[in-house]
Amino acid sequence: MEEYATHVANQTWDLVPRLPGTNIVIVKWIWTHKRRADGTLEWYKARWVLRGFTQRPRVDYDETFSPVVKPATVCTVLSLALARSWPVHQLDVKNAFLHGALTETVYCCQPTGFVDSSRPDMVWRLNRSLYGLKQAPLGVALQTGYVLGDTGLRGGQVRHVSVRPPSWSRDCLLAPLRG
Amino acid sequence: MSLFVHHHGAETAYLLLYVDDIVLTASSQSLLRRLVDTLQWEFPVKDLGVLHHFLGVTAKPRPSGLLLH
Repeated sequence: MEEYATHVANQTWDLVPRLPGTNIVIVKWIWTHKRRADGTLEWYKARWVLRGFTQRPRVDYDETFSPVVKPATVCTVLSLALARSWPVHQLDVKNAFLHGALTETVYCCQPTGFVDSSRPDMVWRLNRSLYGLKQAPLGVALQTGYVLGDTGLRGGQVRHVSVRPPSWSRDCLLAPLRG
Repeated sequence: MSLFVHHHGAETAYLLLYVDDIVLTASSQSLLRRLVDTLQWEFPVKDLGVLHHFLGVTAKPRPSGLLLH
């Protein structure tokens, strides 16, 4: 399974004994249907998510961060590109949340179906962020910012603490400026 | 929301990042290609081609501009 293989390759966790007094974050599998543009089924996607609400402040996390794009910023960048006839591409970072390094110690139980039969009582100590973890997007933002910084891109991050994606109230036609 | 800007001589590029979605625009095809290649050294990044969908919004080229809906 791609999701599990990626976690193994990234060394997302270490299997450790369950220590008394530690908080174990509850986890579950999320299954989604990925469909092609015409609506036919392409593949099933499995994602191992942590139930962030079972984390405890100052025990499992210190700082949270939800990056949200302002529609005005998207429109500004697209208008500029359009006016100058620049190519605009979209890219997708696979398993984005796995790239964030964790600074706090977080434990979670082994995923259903992937329990180590010789050590079923042990728990995972996470080395990297996972979906659902309160600090997941923070790890990504910092890590991505750091790496992009290396490529010569300068990060001008605008931080908005919100869990909602931007809302687009109506259609919008961006017309190139003609001079 | 993160906006990354690249300025070097006559070269300019803007990169919008939302979680794992990226929109990248650059002042030339070669610069765009180079930036995608650089990103691919660091991440499993997939170039999905010309912008058609971002943050639940569909982008369609029109003779008069770009229609977002």
